[in-house]
Amino acid sequence: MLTPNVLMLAWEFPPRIIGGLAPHVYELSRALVKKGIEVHVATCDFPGAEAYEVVDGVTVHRVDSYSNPTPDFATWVAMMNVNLQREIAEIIASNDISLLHAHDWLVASASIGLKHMFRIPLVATIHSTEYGRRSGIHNDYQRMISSTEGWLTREAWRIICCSRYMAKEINSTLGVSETSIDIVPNGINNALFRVPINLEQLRSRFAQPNEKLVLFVGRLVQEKGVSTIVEAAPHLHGLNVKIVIVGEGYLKEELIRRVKELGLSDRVYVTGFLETETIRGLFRVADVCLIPSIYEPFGIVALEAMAGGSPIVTSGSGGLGEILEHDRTAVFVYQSPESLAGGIRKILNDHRYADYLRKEASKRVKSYEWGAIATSTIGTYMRTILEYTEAKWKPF
Amino acid sequence: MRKVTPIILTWEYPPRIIGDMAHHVDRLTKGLNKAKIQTSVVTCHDSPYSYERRSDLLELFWASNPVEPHISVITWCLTLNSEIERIVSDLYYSRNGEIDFLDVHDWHFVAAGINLKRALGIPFIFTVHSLEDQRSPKPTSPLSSCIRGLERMGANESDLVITKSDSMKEEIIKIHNIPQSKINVVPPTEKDWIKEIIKSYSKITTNKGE
Repeated sequence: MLTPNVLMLAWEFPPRIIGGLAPHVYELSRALVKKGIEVHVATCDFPGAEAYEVVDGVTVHRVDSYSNPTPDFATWVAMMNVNLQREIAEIIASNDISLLHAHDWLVASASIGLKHMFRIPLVATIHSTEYGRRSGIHNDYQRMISSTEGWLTREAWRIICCSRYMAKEINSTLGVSETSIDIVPNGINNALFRVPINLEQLRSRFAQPNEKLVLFVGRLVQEKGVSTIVEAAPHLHGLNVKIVIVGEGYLKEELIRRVKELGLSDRVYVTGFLETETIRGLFRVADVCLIPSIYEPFGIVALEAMAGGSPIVTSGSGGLGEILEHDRTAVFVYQSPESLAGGIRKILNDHRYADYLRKEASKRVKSYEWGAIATSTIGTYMRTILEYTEAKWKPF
Repeated sequence: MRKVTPIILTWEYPPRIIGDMAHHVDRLTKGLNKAKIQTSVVTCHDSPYSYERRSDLLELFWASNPVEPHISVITWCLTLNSEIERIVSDLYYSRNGEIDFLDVHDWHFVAAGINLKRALGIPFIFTVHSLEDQRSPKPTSPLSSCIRGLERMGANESDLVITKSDSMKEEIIKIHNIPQSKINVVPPTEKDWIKEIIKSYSKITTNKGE
């Protein structure tokens, strides 16, 4: 059977990076190309980025997404899909594309329209659900997004998600049978965490040599449990720590205000946005990495901490519980400041225990290399093509 | 001369009546049928049925929105466009690619018209009943600008624009900057209205092979 020529649709691709989707699509598409799959990526444009370029064998098509004025984000997404579809039609026709791969609801209507017009099968990766992101559906805006996710999963031949936790969530919130879902974890490029850099110099930007560096990296939103970190700080008396909170999000100002209110400005540093290379370096110099998420479909930050060699304290929520193992690759704690502080103490007070966690984590993270993830993804592609070709009835 | 077989895309058609467009397209399809023109209408309705044959020469395809609820008319329309694309694609494949052209009424299904043209090579006519600049009390608002953007795409990417009056033709040229020769004025009040519409339709099918 011939390998498919794949067209991926994603609303972000480097250098346009909004969240974790951009690096995911970037690494996955490159790894697929290394395995002999022809991959095209259709995505939004970005200032300074080429409209058409080949990145490590991946053909990237960046489509004008901002020239139409729109009143709100949802309308922008709808117009972005119109623009994507207009441009992709020619790409599909001239590149013999045999499979579409959509990433999340943001590209649903373009993917579905193209599937019907060209009659080629569609695979959809659901990275997270609106229900999970918002801890429920509370208004019509969220209901519309959730309904779009449902539409995409109904139209896709197979669904990919990153963890058993997500498969259950997709099943319960969108009504998708678990037999239609393939679990393919997110991947990590371990080599990027071994690039020679001046770690001492980097560390000195964030903490004194005698301070233990406690790191959080993620969006500053409620679902990441970042507020618990600030509340845990007063429980760390007796320890000389610097808590470094990296990321942006709607909670940022509130966190800074609370740090001041608690009189912890010399102990907790909210950095805001940092360059990817700096963040990778921080994972390598941190004494503890905190992942206290309330909602985490997968938890790519866990792979990054493991690859960087930073011992992890985590809530173990969602996909984190599938990647990490208590007392082997991380310390699992409750979602309370006291428990989180207890986890930090456990690692900082016992160097041998911390080294054990590091060693076990570095072994475990090797199974998440992108090459392995690409192989699993190709499995889904081949199954889709085979089933689609042999199906007597096709739901065009 | 071979008879044309139009597929009309309209967001309203009886029994769904929002404004005058439903009545207009109803009169148009009746007139075309009278002239023995086989016509298909693809429109939207939350009907339990997806297909209705009203006469030997008129068939209707109903699309319902796959996403509910919506926060604006634009998200509602643009989501529905993928469903319109599905229906027209099904027609395209079931007719072995033998589709003459689409007649897209106003901005609502312009995206489907453009995408079907680009993907499957189906020409489309953009029939302009009115323009957002005339309808909207706030033509510079982001919502109206977005609709104007869709109208501009329709005016530019269509093979022909049909409109009702010379003044509307002037407005389209002024706002969307397209050549005069691309616009046919066919007033629906004229006695030979349907004859003129069929002439415009024939122009597209004649040019199709070029």
